[in-house]
Amino acid sequence: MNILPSHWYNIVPDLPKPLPPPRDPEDDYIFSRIELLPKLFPSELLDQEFTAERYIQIPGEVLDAYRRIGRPTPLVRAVNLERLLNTPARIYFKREDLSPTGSHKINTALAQAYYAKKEGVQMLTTETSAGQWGSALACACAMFDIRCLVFMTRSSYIRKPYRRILMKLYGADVVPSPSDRTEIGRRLLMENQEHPGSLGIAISEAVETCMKDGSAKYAVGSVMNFVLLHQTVIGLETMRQLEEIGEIPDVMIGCVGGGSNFSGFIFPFIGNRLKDGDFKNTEFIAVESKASPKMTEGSYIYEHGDTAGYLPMLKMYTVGRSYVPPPIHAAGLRYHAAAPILSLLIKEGLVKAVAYTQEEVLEAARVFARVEGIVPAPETAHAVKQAIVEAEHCRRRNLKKTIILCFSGHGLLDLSVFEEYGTY
Amino acid sequence: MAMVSLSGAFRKRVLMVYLTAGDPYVDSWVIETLSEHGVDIFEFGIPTARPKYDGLTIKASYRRAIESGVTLEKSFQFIEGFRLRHKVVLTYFEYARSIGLERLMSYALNAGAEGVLLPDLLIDYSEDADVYVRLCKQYGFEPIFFITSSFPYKLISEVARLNPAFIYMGLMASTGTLLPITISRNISIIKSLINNTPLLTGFAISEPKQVLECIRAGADGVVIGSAIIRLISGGGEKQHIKEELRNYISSIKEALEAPV
Ligand SMILES: Cc1ncc(COP(=O)(O)O)c(C=O)c1O
Repeated sequence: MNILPSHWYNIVPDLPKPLPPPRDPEDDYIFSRIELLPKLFPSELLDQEFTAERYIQIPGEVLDAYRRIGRPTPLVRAVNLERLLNTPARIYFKREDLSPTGSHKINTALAQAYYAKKEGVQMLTTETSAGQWGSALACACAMFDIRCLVFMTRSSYIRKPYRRILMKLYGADVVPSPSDRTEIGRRLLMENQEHPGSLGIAISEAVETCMKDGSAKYAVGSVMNFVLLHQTVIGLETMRQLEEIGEIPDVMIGCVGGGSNFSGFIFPFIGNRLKDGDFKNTEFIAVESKASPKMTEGSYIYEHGDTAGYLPMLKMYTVGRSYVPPPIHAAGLRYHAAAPILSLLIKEGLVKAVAYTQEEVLEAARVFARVEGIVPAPETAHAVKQAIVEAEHCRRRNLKKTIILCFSGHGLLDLSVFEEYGTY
Repeated sequence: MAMVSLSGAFRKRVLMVYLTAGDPYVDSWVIETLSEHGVDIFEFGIPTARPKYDGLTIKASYRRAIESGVTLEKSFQFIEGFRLRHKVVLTYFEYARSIGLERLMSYALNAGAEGVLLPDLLIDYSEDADVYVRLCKQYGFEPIFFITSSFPYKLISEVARLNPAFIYMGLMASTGTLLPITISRNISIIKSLINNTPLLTGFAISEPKQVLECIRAGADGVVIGSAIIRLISGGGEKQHIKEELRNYISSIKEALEAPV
């Protein structure tokens, strides 16, 4: 069987309710964020954002790039973890850590760099915190020969030298955010020279750069429909791999920053349930950090994706764009909101959300590394924690459930975290 | 009163024009000129301070109406003041609910309108769709539904089965704001889900070539709002604007009636 799919899957036509459109603030009569979108994104990506089509062909060049970076990725059974937990459950994990930059982010980075290149864009700008997204985009830009400018939150810029170096190695221009290159950056630096930055601020800086430079466009690591669309390659592969081994998932788990790896992982399954009634008994569990508890404690409202409010408002679960989460090592989960499509599925009760603290998940990561030999990224550790919770529940109730988790990335460039916490 | 039902207007391709009731630029001669030159349906927006899906042009139009003192009652008096082939009322459900949907329907009926379009009904208030359909029946209106390309296929087919006068498909994220969206693809997908229900397409349509694209993809007509508001609010002599309106509408009508 051909595991790598030929099309991405767009879940929007199969949702239980209409997806609320992006909106401009009602009281702004001068500046339309929606009008700004074509300046920020390549046309084909905006077209994907609003398409009514269910299956979207993956361009040949992107498929080829997917193969070269190691797709399809394996689905592996965590036999040692099962044995350690003494659980009758079967645990599988989808290895998105096996990409050149160590996470799932490359799945959309390659697509975005491809469409940008095709439209003659000279440079892509973006934000990053721990650097997973920034390094994936830098890698994709290198592969498609296009310039890359990354605004990296200052705290990570200082504390995470290796991904910063990796991005530079790929030829990207990396600046600590807030920076003096943008208005919002300069304003914040005036307030505090040592401003630690946040994803929301870094997004605003990347967007502002494109507003001023017509040859640059903005690449986005999560949240937007088209990003989730590209990530469905994860779930589509997983579905075929499960078919091959004759497994039907009882529980599917993923961590949520903006929601892209988890959404890409589960949408093909939820879509089949909504369309054809398959996977009726599968539980879908989104795991977030207690440091940014948008899904478990936030509100389902219209909010901007960035701190400055340069981007349109989207209807999503959020703790508010000016919320500054405590600094945690799973920097990719510090984002203030969950993608609109994922938020709608949570609202409709199709996805359950849970939250954990940093200590809990790092301990789970240690356990996993000890038995399976793979170090989860601090973000991924949230999903691992929930998988362990489920497997232990199965042990107590003697349930032979099939648990699948999206192993979004490895933590080899986050090792200092474990030292800091003494989690060896 | 209209001679044919609202859905009856779709025996040929339809041009619907959006105007804000009470916008000082929407003079009676503007409406008369548009009507004389073949606008089939007039869609009158009730001014609101919360225009959810509107771009800068229509937002400004709402604001002008409000600032010139147009109230709910006055906007319906305005609508009542014109004898036209077909009139429909547009307002956000959020607002309709706050003043009472039934009250709004009775105002619309008294003003000679044949329908009420609530663009946010199925998006933010889908649980109230039944009430809307029931009240339409009670007031003798054919329902009208607003959808977008981000609607579930199932819901689109379902609302088509409720025999609406037409379905209004918003092609862009907000009115008057052009995005690089392949509208022909989205229209033909939607059209395939609704059988013979008339389909009007709008949002950021300003040029005849867009009209052709809509028609060729299966739309039964188009809606133009911002482009006309820009034309009448751009300054200039009345005679000159009249001339421009006439030329503009005929270029749109020509595209609309082109064989496909
Ligand atoms: C390894 C890893 N997993 C998960 C995430 C969270 O992002 P998303 O929810 O968009 O998948 C990130 C974000 O940086 C990440 O690096």
